[in-house]
Amino acid sequence: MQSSSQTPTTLAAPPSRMPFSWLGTAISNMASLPLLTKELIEQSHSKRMYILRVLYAVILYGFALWQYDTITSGPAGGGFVNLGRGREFFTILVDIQKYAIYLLLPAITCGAVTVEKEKDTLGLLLLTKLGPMTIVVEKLLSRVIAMGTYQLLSLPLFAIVYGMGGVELSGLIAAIIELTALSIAVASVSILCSTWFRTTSEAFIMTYVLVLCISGCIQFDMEIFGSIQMRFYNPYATATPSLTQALMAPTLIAIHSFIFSGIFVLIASRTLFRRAFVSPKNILLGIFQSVDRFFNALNDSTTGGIVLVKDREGLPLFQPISWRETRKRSLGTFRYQFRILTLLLAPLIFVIAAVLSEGRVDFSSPFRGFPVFFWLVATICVTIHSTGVIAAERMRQSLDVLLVTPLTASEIVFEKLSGVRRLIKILIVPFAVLVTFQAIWSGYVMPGSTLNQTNNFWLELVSTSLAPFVFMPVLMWVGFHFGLRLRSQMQAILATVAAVLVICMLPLAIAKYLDDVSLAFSPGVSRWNRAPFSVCLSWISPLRSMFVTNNFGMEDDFRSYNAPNVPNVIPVKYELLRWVPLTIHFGFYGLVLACLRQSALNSFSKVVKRSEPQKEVPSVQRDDTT
Amino acid sequence: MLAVEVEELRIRYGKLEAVKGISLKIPPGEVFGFIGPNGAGKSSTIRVLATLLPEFRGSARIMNISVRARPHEVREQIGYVPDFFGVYEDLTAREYLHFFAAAYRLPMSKRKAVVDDVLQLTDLTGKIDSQVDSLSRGMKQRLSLARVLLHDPAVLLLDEPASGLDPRARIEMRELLKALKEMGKTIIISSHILHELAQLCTRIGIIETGRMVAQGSVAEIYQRLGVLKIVHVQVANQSPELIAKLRSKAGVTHVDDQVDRISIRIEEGKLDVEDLHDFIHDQGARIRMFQPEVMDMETAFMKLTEGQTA
Ligand SMILES: Nc1ncnc2c1ncn2[C@@H]1O[C@H](COP(=O)(O)OP(=O)(O)O)[C@@H](O)[C@H]1O
Ligand SMILES: [Mg+2]
Repeated sequence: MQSSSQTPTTLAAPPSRMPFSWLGTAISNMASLPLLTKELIEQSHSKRMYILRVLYAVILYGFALWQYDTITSGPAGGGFVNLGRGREFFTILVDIQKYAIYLLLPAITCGAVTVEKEKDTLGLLLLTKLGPMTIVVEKLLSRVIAMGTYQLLSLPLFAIVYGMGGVELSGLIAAIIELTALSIAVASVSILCSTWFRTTSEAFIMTYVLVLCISGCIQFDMEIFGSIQMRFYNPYATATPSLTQALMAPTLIAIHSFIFSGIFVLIASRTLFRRAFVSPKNILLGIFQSVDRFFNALNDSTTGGIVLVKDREGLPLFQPISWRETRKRSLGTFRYQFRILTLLLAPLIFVIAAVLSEGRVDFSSPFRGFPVFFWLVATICVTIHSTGVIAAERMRQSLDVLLVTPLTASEIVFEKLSGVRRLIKILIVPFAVLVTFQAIWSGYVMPGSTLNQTNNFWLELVSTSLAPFVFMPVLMWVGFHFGLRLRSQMQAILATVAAVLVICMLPLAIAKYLDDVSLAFSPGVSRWNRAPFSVCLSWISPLRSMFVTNNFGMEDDFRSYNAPNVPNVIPVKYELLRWVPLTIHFGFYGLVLACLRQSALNSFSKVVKRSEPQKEVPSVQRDDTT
Repeated sequence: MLAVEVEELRIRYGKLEAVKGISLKIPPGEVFGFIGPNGAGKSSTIRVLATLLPEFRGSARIMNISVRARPHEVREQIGYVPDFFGVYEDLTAREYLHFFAAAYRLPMSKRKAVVDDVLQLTDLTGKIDSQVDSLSRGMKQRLSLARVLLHDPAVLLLDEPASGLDPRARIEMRELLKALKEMGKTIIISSHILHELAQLCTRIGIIETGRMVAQGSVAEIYQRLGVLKIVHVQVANQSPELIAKLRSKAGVTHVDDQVDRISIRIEEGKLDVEDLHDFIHDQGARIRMFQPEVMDMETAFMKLTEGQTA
């Protein structure tokens, strides 16, 4: 660890030897690199950097080990056969490095300037003699060097690969050039975002969006470029190209990407001053306001300005916080929520109308996409709203005066969430319409005659109609917890989305893994008989009831692997047993909901630092040891 | 019964001990000035009393109710004005006050009258339908006071209410506080500027890095601050011998030979001003100016708190 943190200082000098044509002049203008030195020293002081590096190493080596395992344990694997197979492994290693650059570097770099804006120290930096170009370049280099230290961690792996043979020296050099060029390119985009945006979270999101877009463009660009490149050197034409020949292509690519980076850095240095003191603005609110304007204009032009839903004005009577959440906060007003409802219902009604008029009988439901659409919108809306109830109050520094009122903690929490609760009620409407129509539709398409079919119908109906009632409140409380604990709403939103992904995916992933493992031991047995735990685990994922197909997916669980086409392994008398997974599923989430709610109520006062009755400490003098 | 009683209060933030054993006893009706430089621990102490800092050692009672054991009841007794005014981008002054009137569960029938009363008192009646965020800083501060007066609390906790206000708003704030004092409220008011509070407070506590360095009635504090006196003297026939004699006189701590005057610092009790006058006269000096001066407040404050910073 220690040695890798010191490498930057030795790395700081050589860049002029590398093909930084434009950078070389910039660097030679700086007698010393004060900012770069400061940034590197700061980084080596931060604990987070070390933790991240260890994490990175663990993931890198774990992944490499796994890949090594899959490559060498193939049908042709083992012993000397591996000799010469380093090339395969080498490509994978370089790819891992590339993904690491795409994923990590923006995260490290996007805060470079925004953090100084947030801490109000950028002004001081701009007052120094350092020019904007110097500041941008040194900030950028410090991050690229930091990334370099991450990548140095993979050196041993490259050594192993080189030992396996099959990798040319030229390939190694080419990879280094390519990775360096990519690092600088990604970092230059991030630094541009960092100079442009006001907050780190804005820069963070926009960097990823931009990097994604640009790498898409570059891919396209490379295709064109590649065809030009072929004229200089065709790797398939000559069997053993000379080193210079082999390095021609990567060098050209690198120069190409440096030009891009140079442009970004140039723009960044221009924007540094111009956007140094932009006032923070709530992008989300801006979006909502523009949507509002759009809807108002639409309303004016279509109906001549008839207002169907008018928010009741008036003064708070009994529950002041509820009043404020549902009347005054823009996201909580009925007007906005009604619009979300329209957004969801309009396409559904359109499809229903189309289906009814066509009268087509089709086994595949025409509504397949709707649950995904609804859940996506619902997740976004509920997350944004529920993470904001405390985070926004905290950001505006208006929480304290609320906490000194005699309202109890649970009153504050429940009233604060009243806007979200109403949003959920409104969001349930499209789900209900969908479920009702689907029920009618499936009854129309496949009139259930057997007990099994009827049972399927009811299973599906119950699970799809229960899901919104359970999962939206769960989401609300998860968002509330994160909004309560994390520093900014952006962090809370990201954390909530991450939590949702984990809750949905992790049980399925683990179940799949266990299942695969068990398949190796006992093939030909139904999933339930092979790995009952894995089956139970897969019942836990919310996806199971949100997007239910095939009656809670039960058939797969009990179907014998040898006879995949036999639909019913369960005898009819056990039909009722099929309600067990559903009960477990919703029982589990009911419990989760209750726990989340209770822990939110219990921890609220503690987290916001509000006194709750404690036992009186009898003696005061006892503490006087210090 | 004491309105506010704090004993051996200690507050820690991680490793930092921000308040190191403060005790306060404030009888009802007093205006207590809590003075100290930034970071001394004023806000922390006030937040404990406002039930917003549950982790503390020692005891704190308001109107004889323990903050630790019965914070809910304490909240009914206090009005807390924090050192910042949060953003309320969506409410008008009327809605803001009604919001808190509802939060304090004022009887519905009385609300309108109470809101009108506090607006009148804080001279904001004309601004009743303005957006809260469009008000000036001084008006926001008065609106804050209007808010805490809604439920007629016994104790007001005001954390630097005058910071950042222009002179006019400052004077208006002082007048308002005087009115509240007349209403018999117990007020704790913090500031880092001594003279801001001098005319208003009945008691003053000076806090420095978490310790109370001086506490007492304004008169007592003045007396303590007046311990050291400076006398400015001009004599027609000044000579180095005179300076030397002055320096060796008992009770004189410091003699500063300035261009137009000699500044003599004397210790009260050991040497009277009159005796100093006679002494100079006896040296054969012809006195042109003799001007005793109580050390100014700021210097005294620096003097009092110096050496405490560790
Ligand atoms: N939430 C907190 N976390 C950590 N340290 C704090 C916190 N609040 C205050 N402090 C520290 O405690 C000390 C006292 O702060 P404060 O009570 O705000 O002083 P004052 O109001 O007199 O300026 C300061 O050194 C400050 O840095
Ligand atoms: Mg303070």
